[in-house]
Amino acid sequence: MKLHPLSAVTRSLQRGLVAASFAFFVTAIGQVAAPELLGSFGLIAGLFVLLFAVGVAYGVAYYYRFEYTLTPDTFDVYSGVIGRQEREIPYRRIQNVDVTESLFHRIVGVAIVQIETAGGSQTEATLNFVAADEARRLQREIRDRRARAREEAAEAETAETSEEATVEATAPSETRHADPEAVADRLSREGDLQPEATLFELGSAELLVLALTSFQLASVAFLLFGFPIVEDLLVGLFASVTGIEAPVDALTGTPDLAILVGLLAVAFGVVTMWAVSSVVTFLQYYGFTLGRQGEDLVYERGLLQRYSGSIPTDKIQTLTIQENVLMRALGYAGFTVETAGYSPGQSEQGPQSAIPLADRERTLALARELEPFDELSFTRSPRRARRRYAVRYGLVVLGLTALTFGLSVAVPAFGLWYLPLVLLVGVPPAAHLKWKHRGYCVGEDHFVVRDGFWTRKTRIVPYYRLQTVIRQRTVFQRRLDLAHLTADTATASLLGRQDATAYDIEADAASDLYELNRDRLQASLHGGD
Amino acid sequence: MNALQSRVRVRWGIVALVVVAILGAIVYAIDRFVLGFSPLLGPGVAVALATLEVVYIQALYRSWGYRLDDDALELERGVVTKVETAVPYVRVQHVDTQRGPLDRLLGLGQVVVYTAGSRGADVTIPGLKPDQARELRNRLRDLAIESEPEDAV
Repeated sequence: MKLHPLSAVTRSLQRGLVAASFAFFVTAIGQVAAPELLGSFGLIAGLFVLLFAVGVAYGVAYYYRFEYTLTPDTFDVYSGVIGRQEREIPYRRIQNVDVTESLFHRIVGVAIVQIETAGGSQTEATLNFVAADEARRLQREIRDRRARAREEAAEAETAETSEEATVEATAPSETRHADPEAVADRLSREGDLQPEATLFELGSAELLVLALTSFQLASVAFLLFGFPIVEDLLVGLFASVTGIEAPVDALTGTPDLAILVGLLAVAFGVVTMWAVSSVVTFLQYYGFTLGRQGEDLVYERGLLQRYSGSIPTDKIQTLTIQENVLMRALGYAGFTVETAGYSPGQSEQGPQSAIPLADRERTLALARELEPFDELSFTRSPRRARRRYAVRYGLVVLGLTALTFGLSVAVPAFGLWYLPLVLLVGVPPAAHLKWKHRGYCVGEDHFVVRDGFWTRKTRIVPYYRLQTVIRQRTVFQRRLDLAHLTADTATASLLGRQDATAYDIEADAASDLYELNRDRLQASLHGGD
Repeated sequence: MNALQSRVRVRWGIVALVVVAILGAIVYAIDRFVLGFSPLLGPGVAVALATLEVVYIQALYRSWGYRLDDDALELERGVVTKVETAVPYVRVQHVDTQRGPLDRLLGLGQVVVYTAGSRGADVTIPGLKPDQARELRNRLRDLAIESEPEDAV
């Protein structure tokens, strides 16, 4: 099947313009290299038209040379204008199928489909773009075919095991689902999967709370670029209305004043950032619904740009409950699930929000539906870890003070060098809070760790998803008999995201957990749990 | 725990010497053109670093160990931060042996074990004899097949 014909039009226009803009680049170089040659307007125009035509031709050729097919076992994509690529993706290996519709797409009635498998450094198949109906059909069709493929495999597996009369070595990812009862249950409703059942809908009150309590890092970038413009605008407006030139220079006249003004600016920036991220979050999560279809979770969200994605429940690697300070205070929480589908750098969609926000009890109940974990009771790090944090923060503050002191010696009229010392007051509470929110919990089937004060993340790792277990101790930790223990899973390592690590726990406990995680993994693989 | 081949210290030493020489040259250049403290500053720094390097490499060599357990490949290493890693055989995606020019010169080889994990995604065991590396690779491959993963994710 081919992409939507309109994609040929938009793509050729895009490529045409990109190629044509190259004409200016070439002429700019030509101007320097051989000025007398490139005097005529006609030459530039000719080059422009020629390159535009090449771009358009490429766009059209791309459309004609792009084809995708749903075969019984694989999803095939044949693409490439000059270098051809034929890709076959087995349904069973597909992790996520995402549908994105931007505002333009929604007006025209089309959508982008992205198919992800584990591994690989980028999205495995992108259909940019197909009709919106076709996108939905593909999403559903792939889901059905994957379910069928899995059933067949499970059937073969049970047949095999009954022959062998042993219950060993069912496939790791299938352990939970391959028990005969579940298979029988699934076979009984073979083919026609249950219609989509809604699990969760984000209410308008919850959407507001979510928007007001979230703080997205993306808004920092916005602020960085947007702030100078807005500031100039404001200052300009102020001057034109009142006729008074804002005394900007006077404000930063002495270093001390500059510091105070700077602090004010930071406070102002934080408020703006919060406002921006509220709006962004509101737009992103407007109309969020989560449904269940067979083994898959299907979510939809977005006001201007609509996203729809599917998360296979049996491919969930870790489940993370997220609560930031404000959410905790109001009794809300949200959770994300992580599959191995996304690759590093896809921060936009990376970990998928299964439930962006709901009241805490509800969130836990919904999370348990996906990963039936036990009651969580956390073991905290020993108290000497807290001392460690206090010392660490104290050193940072002292370092900062030393820096400002150095500055005050170098810069005349800078007397407020001791200002950072005020932060010392905050060190003990900060250390305490950091310590208080860290902890681990060893469940029957899950290893759970918790970390973070500003945004507390509780990571729930099923033992049968463990990849490697890592225990590490720095010199300082060895002195205090502490250790970090990491239970690594196959989630995409996105920038700035940590793994499930229990920080600064008793060294002995870490050794025990190191063994325990490995044992439990083996037990879950061999169905011995 | 199996230790590495002691020759690996020479390999690490050569790499470290190159780095130390470059650093020494930089310090020398800074001294020559900016500080004017003493022409011996650069070589001095280099000698000091080299001494540290010798101690560090010795400690690193001692800290290194690997073992094939019944369920997992276990590694232990690190001087400042001691790290222990267990890679269950079920999770092994593929195994490489690698021999760079320096390795070939010294008659060494290394084994790289890949998993789908985010952090310990590739684990390297340096400083093995070439046939030892090949043997370890084959052994790991067999163990990975034996443990029968359907989908190592």
